[in-house]
Amino acid sequence: MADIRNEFGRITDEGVADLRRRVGSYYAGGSSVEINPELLIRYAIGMGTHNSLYRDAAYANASVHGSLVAFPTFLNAVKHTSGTPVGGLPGVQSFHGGNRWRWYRHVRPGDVISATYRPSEILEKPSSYAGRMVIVYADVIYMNQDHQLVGRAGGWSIRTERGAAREKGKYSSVKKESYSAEDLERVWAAYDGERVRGDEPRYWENVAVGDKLPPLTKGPLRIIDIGLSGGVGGGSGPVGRGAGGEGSHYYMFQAYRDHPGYSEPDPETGMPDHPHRGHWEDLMSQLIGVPGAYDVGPQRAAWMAEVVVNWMGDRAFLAELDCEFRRFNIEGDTTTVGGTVTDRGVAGDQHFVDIEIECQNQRGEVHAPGRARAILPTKSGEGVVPG
Amino acid sequence: MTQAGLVTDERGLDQLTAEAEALIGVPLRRNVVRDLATAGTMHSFCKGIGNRNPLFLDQTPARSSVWGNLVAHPLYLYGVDDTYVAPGFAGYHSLYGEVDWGFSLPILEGTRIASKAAVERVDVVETAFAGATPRQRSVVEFADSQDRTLATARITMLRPSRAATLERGLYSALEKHRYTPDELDLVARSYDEEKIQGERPRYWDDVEVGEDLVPVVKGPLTSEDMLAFIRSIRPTRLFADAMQDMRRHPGAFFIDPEIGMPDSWEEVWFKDKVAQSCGFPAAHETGLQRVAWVGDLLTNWCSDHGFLARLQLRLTRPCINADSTWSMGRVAGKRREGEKYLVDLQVWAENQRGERTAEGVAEVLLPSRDPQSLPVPLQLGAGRDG
Repeated sequence: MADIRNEFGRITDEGVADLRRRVGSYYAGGSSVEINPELLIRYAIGMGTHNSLYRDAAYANASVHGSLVAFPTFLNAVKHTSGTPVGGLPGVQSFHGGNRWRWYRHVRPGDVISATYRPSEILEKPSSYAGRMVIVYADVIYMNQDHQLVGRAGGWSIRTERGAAREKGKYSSVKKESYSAEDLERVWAAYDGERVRGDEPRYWENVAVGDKLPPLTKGPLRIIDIGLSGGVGGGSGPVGRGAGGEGSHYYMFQAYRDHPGYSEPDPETGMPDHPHRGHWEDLMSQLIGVPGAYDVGPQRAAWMAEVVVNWMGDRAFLAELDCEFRRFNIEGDTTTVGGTVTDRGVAGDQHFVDIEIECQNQRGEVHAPGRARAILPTKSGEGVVPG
Repeated sequence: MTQAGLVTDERGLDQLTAEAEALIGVPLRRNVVRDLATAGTMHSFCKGIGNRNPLFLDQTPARSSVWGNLVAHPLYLYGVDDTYVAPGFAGYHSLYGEVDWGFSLPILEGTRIASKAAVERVDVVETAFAGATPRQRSVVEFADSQDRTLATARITMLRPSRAATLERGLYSALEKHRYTPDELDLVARSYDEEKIQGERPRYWDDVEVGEDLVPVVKGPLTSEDMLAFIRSIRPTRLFADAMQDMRRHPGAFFIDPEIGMPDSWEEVWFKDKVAQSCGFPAAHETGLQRVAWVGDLLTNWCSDHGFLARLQLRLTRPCINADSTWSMGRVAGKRREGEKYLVDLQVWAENQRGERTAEGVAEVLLPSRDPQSLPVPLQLGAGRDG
């Protein structure tokens, strides 16, 4: 078998075969988390939602749920959902391409959530001028202490050779934004105008195809918004132990010694470089052709869930979210998250609405499209909402 | 609302000082998210400072230790209250200058913690960094749900004028370090030689005055180390929350000159350009981390049976991105105080240039071979059934 390390930065037949052999294997890595209120509140604060159901214990305890509930994408902090943890193909860039979330029941303080992670499919795309491309799919299953299925996330990462060449083309005309005082006033007016449906039910009967969801504003993005959102670093944010957080100093130093393919020397200081440093440092982002530090997919998935939960009300349930991360946002970008109802119907005993979602930045780029399904309560009292 | 983040406070230093003095003794509102010590956050704090001690990381050894439970790193309290007490002086920077921690009780898993903070003293000192520099000395007290004191921190915050630091340019010639392979090897060796006394007790009787502690290295300092630390102590507040904070505390924000967007002065910890606008050569460490790192030095040494009772540390030089810091200590004396067997130590931090960046003293309680002596949990004198 060829020494894969000799082919650093290249996608080879041996490298792809190695990935295919991993499909179906369970990946280890401490992912059982005891849920307490602080974890849920810190995630809600860290992803920037104002929805009290997820971050205000007094409100949530008095709500129809009787307790705080986890924001849907909180599970990402228990176990990261891209294909990047699958590993392999040393030196080949990996970009989180999207997720397919399915939720079945709420997560509450007192629960213990465990997760399994398995590569599920390896897909090679036709070669192009910028070299070979492989898409790595993973399946993450989340269970609670009663071994009930809580959620499931399909996720994928795009592995590309000569990633810089590919990305440069995409971002060659992009520059960091420059805001005037009036621009900022508009952003703040948008924040001030945001409303959460909350306790008031949104009945399935009252929703029509074509209804527009009140948009959300997210930005301007600061380095600390990207780096500290809790979506970075494999979810080492609020949950500590259970999320495989890498740790500082010795832990990273040792990780680089254990996995020589994992990092290269920083051009400025000679110290080992974290492969994700482009998320919070301009120098590293520019080396791969992106004009500034760039954001993370899971943060945007959270925004897309938020536009729905803020609209659907506390008595509804977010069952599905499919999202694709097509382009990066960079430092300074502001996104408007919008949704439109595209379908309504009944599946079994669940009364659902389907929503098309778009994340559009101030350049007019739709950088993350998606769709969601919410199960709503009915005025008639028929049907069941998961809880 | 008007454009926030541009603090154009024209009031003079005298007036700002008078206003800050009016806050002396006033209980301050603290932004506390965490009030319960949980295994996850205790573990996460240790990962955030690179601590490797099983007593703090892992319930299995902790439960069979003399403490009977998972113990928090003493500086875990930074995740309850970061002890940055810097009210007033809008438009002035905030720097952690010095802290004197007294630790009274161990923080065990499940402890509910509350903090109270007040400024005790305000004055103006002359510094090479910024000339006439306001200085605020405060006290932060940590107590459990039975109102027993867990720890007390006496803090000194320095409030330099950013314009003055730029005029003086004390650190303008400093650059980020460029490591040779030998220098990286030295760091690697220090990691490999780090020693955690662990289960085997460090007996007070065996300690020799003049004894050197095995140094603990942390470095080279990277931006992801900074993120991991901050993340381990608190959530960041973004978007609408950040806007709310800007309205309440405009002095904590500035307008990014490149993008024109409001940004928090916390970016001095991550962005070189922002740190440079405050007189530093590059993004720098919070000050809290160096205190925690020296905490590692002492908790590594004192064994699972020991207890860090006091850590006083003055930060004398910045610690910037790419710096490596060795925490070092030496036994200065040992004594008895009632039931307590105490060791006094001198502690300091040195970087890869051989410069001393912090210095102070510490006190550690140790077990004794004397059969009449008490185990350290009882030496601390506050039984849990009290």
